[in-house]
Amino acid sequence: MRGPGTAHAARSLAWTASGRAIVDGVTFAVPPGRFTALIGPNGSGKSTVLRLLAGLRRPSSGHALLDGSDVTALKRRDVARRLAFVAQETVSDLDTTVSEVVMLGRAPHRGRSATTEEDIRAVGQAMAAMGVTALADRSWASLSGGERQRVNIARALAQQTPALLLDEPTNHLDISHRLDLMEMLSRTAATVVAALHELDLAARYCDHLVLLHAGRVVAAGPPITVLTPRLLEQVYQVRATVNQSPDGRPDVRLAPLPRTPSSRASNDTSRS
Amino acid sequence: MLSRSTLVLVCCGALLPLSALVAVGTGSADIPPLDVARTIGAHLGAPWEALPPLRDSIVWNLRLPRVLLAALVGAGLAVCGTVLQAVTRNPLADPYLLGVSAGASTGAVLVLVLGFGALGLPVGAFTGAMAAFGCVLLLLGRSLGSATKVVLSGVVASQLFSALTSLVVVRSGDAERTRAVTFWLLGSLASADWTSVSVCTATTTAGLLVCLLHARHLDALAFGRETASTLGFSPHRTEMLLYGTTAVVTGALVAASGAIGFVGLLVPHAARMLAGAAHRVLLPSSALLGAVFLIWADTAARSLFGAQELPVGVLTALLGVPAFAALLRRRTATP
Repeated sequence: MRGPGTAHAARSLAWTASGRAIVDGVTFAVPPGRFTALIGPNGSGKSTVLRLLAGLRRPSSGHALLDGSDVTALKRRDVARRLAFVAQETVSDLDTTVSEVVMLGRAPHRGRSATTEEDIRAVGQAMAAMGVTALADRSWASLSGGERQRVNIARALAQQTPALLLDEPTNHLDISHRLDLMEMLSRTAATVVAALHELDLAARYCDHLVLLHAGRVVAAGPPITVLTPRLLEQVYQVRATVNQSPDGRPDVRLAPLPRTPSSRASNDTSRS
Repeated sequence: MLSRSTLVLVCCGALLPLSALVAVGTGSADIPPLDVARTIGAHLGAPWEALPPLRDSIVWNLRLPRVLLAALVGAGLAVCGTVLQAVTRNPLADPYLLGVSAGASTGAVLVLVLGFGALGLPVGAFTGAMAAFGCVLLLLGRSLGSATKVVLSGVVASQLFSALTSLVVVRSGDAERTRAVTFWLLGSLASADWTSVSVCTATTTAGLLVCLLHARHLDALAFGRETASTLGFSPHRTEMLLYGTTAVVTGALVAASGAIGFVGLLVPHAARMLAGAAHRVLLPSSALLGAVFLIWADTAARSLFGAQELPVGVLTALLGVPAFAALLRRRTATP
């Protein structure tokens, strides 16, 4: 049902808010058809980089590329047919039903024409994939945080785009839904880029990681090369133990750093 | 889902002409609905016999324009309210959010005080409304996307123009004019004539059409600008167009009838409960419901207390406040 995944890339991306550089000279490539995670502590610029890739923000300098062309130069509708975006929180108090929300995802395909059988099929498949079929007639305002998140992802799936960009998609989800979602994202033929908090999930499910710190790329590559004790200590200020599991993926365990003045000092030098 | 919303549309659609016929017949001289239909038909060229001249004139020159204006104002305000609630994602938004009513009163008061006669009043009110909307746009600058800034700019502009109105009223010091101004501010359909009906038909129809063409944009915008953007819409362009459209429509309606409250706030919520939140059905449902509501509110306003007519704005507020309280209770009751 999906075409081959799109290619995304950041070329010297920068984004400044009231004089402060939030994203500062970020360059990386997203492998097509694979699952890439943007990881990094709070304020490292993950969400902003994701929005720049989706063309939701105009970079102060540099380019966000979608299949080789600058995403901000493309028509919004063309972009909407190629990538779907799931924000962290979608604030809306309006009494919209769940199936109406998921049907929104069909908007880029139908213009002003009436609902087609294909639209209904796509909405049904997307709701089934996220396990929200039973919620179809519920009001959005009455949903829990986790239910909203799943409905929102179903909306993006109904868009049937070759790329899915998700900002912290596991937020509010309980453990089984979290794992189901990660399974689904790792299996899809679409290119997936997600800003992620959980390093264990990123290690287990993602093909490619981009580690961000203070608006810059610290490392990019397969999980085993990015999730190293040295990099994790430098970026997150934690002690990490990394073992390679039989499938070649890293198994990460985290512990707090011992509180010594010398560890702070070594951190400061490593950042500069 | 589709059948239910169609049912709502059909019911409201049938209710509107029936309400209009009964409302035209109601008043100090009661005229049966069939006679009303007959005399209207005769005016429109049907081979029916019209009523005797006096009764015919009551129907054709007095009551019909008034009932039609009530329907148009009700429909227009309800549509503008629906659109602004979606664009600002604020359930408390109403057509006067953008300072239009405050600006219109300043314009109307200036005309009344300077004495340009009856024809000048709607023109003055409309000019004032557009001045206030321009003021909101100036305050907003490029930040059209922040719903909070839109609401705040509207409040600031409204305060400014209300102060100007008070200043003019106090400076003029004419008790008779002050009374006329107060009455106008509360909203009334008493000055309805075929001119105001034609102007409001044109603006309301055009406005409804523009909004209907953007029904999908509204569905997406209600879910946030970012979502709308990733669904392929251009939020900035749509917001600009819809703010402009609602301001012009509201300006024209306020110029014809004063600032009738609560229709544009409440009817959209009621319509959403009945017809759902998809704007392709919600907008026409809201329009029909607003039309029927204001026809009945105005009929009550002019017949409840005999010869002493109430400003219809008083009645919509009296009905609107308890209805709104119930609505708020319902909203907080759902988890």
